[in-house]
Amino acid sequence: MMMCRISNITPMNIVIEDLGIRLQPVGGKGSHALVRADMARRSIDLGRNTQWVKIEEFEIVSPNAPKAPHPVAAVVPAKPPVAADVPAKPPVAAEVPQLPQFSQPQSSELEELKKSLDGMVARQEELFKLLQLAVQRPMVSAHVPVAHFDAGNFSSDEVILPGKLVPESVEVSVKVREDEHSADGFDDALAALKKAKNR
Amino acid sequence: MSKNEKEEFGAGLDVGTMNFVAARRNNGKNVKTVRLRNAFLDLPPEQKRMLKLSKTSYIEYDGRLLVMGDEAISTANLFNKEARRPMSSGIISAGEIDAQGVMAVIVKHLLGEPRHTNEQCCFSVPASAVDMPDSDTTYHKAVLSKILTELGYSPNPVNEALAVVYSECMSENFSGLALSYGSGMTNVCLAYNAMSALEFSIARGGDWVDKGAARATGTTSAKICMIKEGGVNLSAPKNREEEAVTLYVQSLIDYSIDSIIAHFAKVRREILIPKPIPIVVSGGTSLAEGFVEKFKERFELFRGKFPIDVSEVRPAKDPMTSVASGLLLYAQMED
Repeated sequence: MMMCRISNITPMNIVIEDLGIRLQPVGGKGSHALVRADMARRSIDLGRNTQWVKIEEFEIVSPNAPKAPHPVAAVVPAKPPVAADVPAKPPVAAEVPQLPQFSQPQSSELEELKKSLDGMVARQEELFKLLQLAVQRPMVSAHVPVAHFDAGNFSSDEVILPGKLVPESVEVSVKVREDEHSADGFDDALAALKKAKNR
Repeated sequence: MSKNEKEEFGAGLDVGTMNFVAARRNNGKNVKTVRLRNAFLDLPPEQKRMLKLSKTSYIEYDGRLLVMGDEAISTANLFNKEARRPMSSGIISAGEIDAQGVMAVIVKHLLGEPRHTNEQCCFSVPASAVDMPDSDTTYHKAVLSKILTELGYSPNPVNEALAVVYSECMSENFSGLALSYGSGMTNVCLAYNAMSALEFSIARGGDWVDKGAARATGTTSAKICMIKEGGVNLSAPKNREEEAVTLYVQSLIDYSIDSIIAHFAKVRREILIPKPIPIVVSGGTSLAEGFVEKFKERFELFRGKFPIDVSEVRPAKDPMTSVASGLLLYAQMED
């Protein structure tokens, strides 16, 4: 299976949205990611960010793959030497589209990549077991009934959203643009709206 | 509870593609609005000191550092990158994996703590776009409702253009045709006596103008946006870029009026407006100088075919905060 290692070479976070990966700044633990090579080639966002990343392609061979049989020398009579009057024409290569060239990683890097891949497979197996357990028992998650309002195109389907959306322990230092004006006209409008709605 | 105390309750939240705007009463006397640009950029955590020194807006959570607001765009320009936007075409962006968390933090910062348990908070939602077949706001509404519920509010979604009618059409007993020209889309609502009769949106707004003008002149959307916000006069464009902006704004106006005519034709048997009503033009895109004049000029070409009697065309008192003010009005009524 052909895999691709994508490494961030900048001091900034990079998000490759259509592959669903976030790369930490260079030198960090999460500064590279592994994806299948065919997915990497199809990614538009990766194409837009090629100047910020290093891409290396390599092949992963399963240790259980059957080995090729040893070639058996065929017993054939030796051919008499052919007069070398006319040199054989070189075969005409079929037109093959040029594939992007990626550099081959060193063997120590390959070992590291294999370990990462084994880790990913182990995590996927773990997730699969959790999913199996979840299917067997009712799912507990946040249930949000969608509010109804007066008019408009509105679906009454309910949407189940897992987890908590508001992050905790957030440090915020944000400048906002503020404006303040008198509420005199506002109070009149409020009274008028109540009257209009109660008709 | 005294009347003055009750006047403090309720919040309006305009959730726009370009800006978030929150409106609240302040000390019972004034209406206070706070606005933040709906954009962010992530930086390595070690840049925090630099951001503090330069007093740049940021948030930090889960070990991540995000520059927020207008500064996200200027900082992105420094690094030659695009600022990320949690919303696209009026709803939460499907491709932006951090949209929900960032929006939750922005909403919490703008609204603050609820003033009582389950305080009413009306938030804006767009209608489904008539020119985008797969347009659906169910997930967008559910995410925002959940964020507000987690913060201790009682969420109430209200159509964006209907909120403009509430804030701008008191003298017509909340009867009017409101067009909210936003960044991601344009929302339309026809209301009579505070009741919504027709709501829809079109998937064109300020972003569409920026992209079209940028394509036509060989520049970037960011540059066109800066030109627009820097003070282009649509009645007297000074250069090639401003001319392109003028043409695309005109096209946007024509398209919106045409859509009203076409959409109204489908429902005309169900809606009867007995007297002339005003058209109110609102939204950030309408802030450009000469926009309302351009609208009036183009509307006259369509007046003969227009399905409703129009008394006048006028701008919202404050196009940037009109939606939030209308939502606050409704929230105070409901609270």
